[in-house]
Amino acid sequence: MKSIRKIASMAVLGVATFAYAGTALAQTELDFWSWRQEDVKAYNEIIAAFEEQNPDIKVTFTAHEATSYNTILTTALAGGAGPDIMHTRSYGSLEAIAAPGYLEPLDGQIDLSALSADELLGTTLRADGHVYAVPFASQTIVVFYNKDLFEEHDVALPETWDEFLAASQKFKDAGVIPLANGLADAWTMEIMSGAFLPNFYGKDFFGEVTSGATDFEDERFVNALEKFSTLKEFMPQGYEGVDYATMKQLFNVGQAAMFVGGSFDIPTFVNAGVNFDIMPGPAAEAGGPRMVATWLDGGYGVNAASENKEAALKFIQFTATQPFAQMLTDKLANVPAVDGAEISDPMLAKVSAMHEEATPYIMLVAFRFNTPTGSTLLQNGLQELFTGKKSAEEVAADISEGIKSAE
Amino acid sequence: MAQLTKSIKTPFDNAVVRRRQMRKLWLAFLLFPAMAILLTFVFLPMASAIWYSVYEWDGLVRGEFIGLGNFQEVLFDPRNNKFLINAFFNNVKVFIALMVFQNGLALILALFLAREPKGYRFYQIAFFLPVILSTVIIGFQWKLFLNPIFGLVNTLLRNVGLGDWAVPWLGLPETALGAMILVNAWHWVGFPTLVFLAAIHRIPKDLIEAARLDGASEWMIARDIIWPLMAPAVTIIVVLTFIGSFNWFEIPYIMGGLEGSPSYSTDMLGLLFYRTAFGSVSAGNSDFGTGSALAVLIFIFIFTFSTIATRYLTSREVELS
Repeated sequence: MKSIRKIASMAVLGVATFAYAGTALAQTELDFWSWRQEDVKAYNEIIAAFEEQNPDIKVTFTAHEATSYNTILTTALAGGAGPDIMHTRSYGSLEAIAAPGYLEPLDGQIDLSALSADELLGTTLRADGHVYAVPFASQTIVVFYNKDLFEEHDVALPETWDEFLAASQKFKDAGVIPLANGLADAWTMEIMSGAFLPNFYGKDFFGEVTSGATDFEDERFVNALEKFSTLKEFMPQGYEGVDYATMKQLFNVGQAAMFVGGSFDIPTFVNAGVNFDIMPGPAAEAGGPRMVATWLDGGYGVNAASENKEAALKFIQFTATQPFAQMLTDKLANVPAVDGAEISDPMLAKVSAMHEEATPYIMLVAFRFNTPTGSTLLQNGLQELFTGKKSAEEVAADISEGIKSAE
Repeated sequence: MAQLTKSIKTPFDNAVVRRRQMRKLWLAFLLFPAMAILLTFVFLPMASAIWYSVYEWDGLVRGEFIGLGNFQEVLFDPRNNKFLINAFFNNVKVFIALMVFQNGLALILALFLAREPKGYRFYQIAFFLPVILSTVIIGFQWKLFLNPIFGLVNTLLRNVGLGDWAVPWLGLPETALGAMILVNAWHWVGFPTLVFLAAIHRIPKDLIEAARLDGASEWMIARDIIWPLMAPAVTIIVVLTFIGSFNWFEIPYIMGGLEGSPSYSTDMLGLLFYRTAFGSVSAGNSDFGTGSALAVLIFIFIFTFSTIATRYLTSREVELS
């Protein structure tokens, strides 16, 4: 009964709205799909701000389950349906929907001047060089550290690799786990490598390896792996079996002094009430750069088959402006891709400041387009390296060979 | 219908025919839901997997017909077949280990229960209880038990002075698969136990009594009377274990992840299929073509071998006359 009454009242409301819209002004309705279920409230507020400026457009935000979002979206698009506007992933996953022509090219149609070339790289199709989505936020790999433990054991914040090892040794001697990280969830090893490898292989390596001037058997990369693997001494006992949940637990309860993770881990530790701060990975040598690995999380794209393309582009243009970026950081605690936003959250401001010395998160940014992906090669290689199954040279050779064999 | 009415002569015949018709209608009515479900969720997906496997796929978009191209890619491309070979042999290991440990233990338990020891109802329920639990729950629960730091298993080992044995079970390529097999055995051992027990109960008591009177030892009774007479149950369990081992997915997926962590030591055909067809965050995008080809190959393999095994095992079953 209740549902019947509900349907009836909705029908009445629907008719009333329709009649009202018909008399007042013709409204264009846009569907907006996303995987950010936790962000529905914030997006509705952002959309309300847009609708205020554009009363002739109405945007409906729908969030799907995150892990199956790619499948839901591609199935809908392949079936000639799908939303007008959508949250897209970046790099390789963007290509999966941009290459078959499901997305509208944006360059030339909207103003992208508030975005840097690095950020646009994540939403550009390599085959034709067009931009298919407006980048929205980036993620950064940082070293979390427990301020109380550093104080209690009188350990100075390490700035160089040698200092990092010394600090870790000091914690180990005091019976504190220096690094919470483990091997069991392979992806967390790739994340961890993002804090250390770049400072060893240096600024130029990314450009050279992506252009083909060198490969992963390069001495710089092998050396970086070699150095990185010495950290296993400072990981928890049984680190081979320590998974992501256990890692966070160790850091949460103050059993581990440091944790290498992504900026996406910040809310977890804030909620757990840990007295922590963040720092970039250590420099290879005193005075050297302390680079942080960053990548673009995703973007906003327009369905090429949308019947409301004009209105959709209007909304997408809005996402490429400073007011939007400001709301994104204020309401969603993201480091926005669009320039000019004032970041109010102090932890986030710190992350953003680290971007002065940013380096692309190498495998995700450049080698997740073909099979086998650089990520699976690196993750598996790191597991083999840290369990002592293979040496740094062998792992580098496997990665290099795998990348070359990828179509 | 005209013919039918013509042949009806007496009211009695009429009633019989009507009853027969009703029966047919009832049968159709009762079979329909099962058939519909089978058709939609078993035969149709199977047919579409075969259909998909002969096309080139760009993500979810179907490309051109390429015949056996996908099969060739799965079987002979060194980038794929090294995973296929690795996963296949892991499945073989799982099958052998489950036959020995899970079903072997089940047989011992069944022989033990068949003697109806004191409190045997309790044991029967206790052994069977894990079977009714969801695999997902068991996977997560054992992942916690095997946690190298907080886990129950290692804490126990340390407390009894076996600290050296407290290794990160799921983190080492040498122990991860073994740990998962033991978890599976713990989960499922009650099922073969129950089947074996039922088979033993079906053996006439006087046969065993007679043997006992003739002075046969317990071992001889088990080997020469019980074992041959429970052959049909063994056939069922061997075939089911074979199918289960080669379709093994939940436990490795929950405890080792989609990539068969660590270093593909727990990779299974099922995981490989899932990664290939649907993609994963780090393994890249989905490829329905090679994924379907792989699924078809797995199906052909399991179907062929379980048919041969059933034929062979049935032929050696003995009948009590």
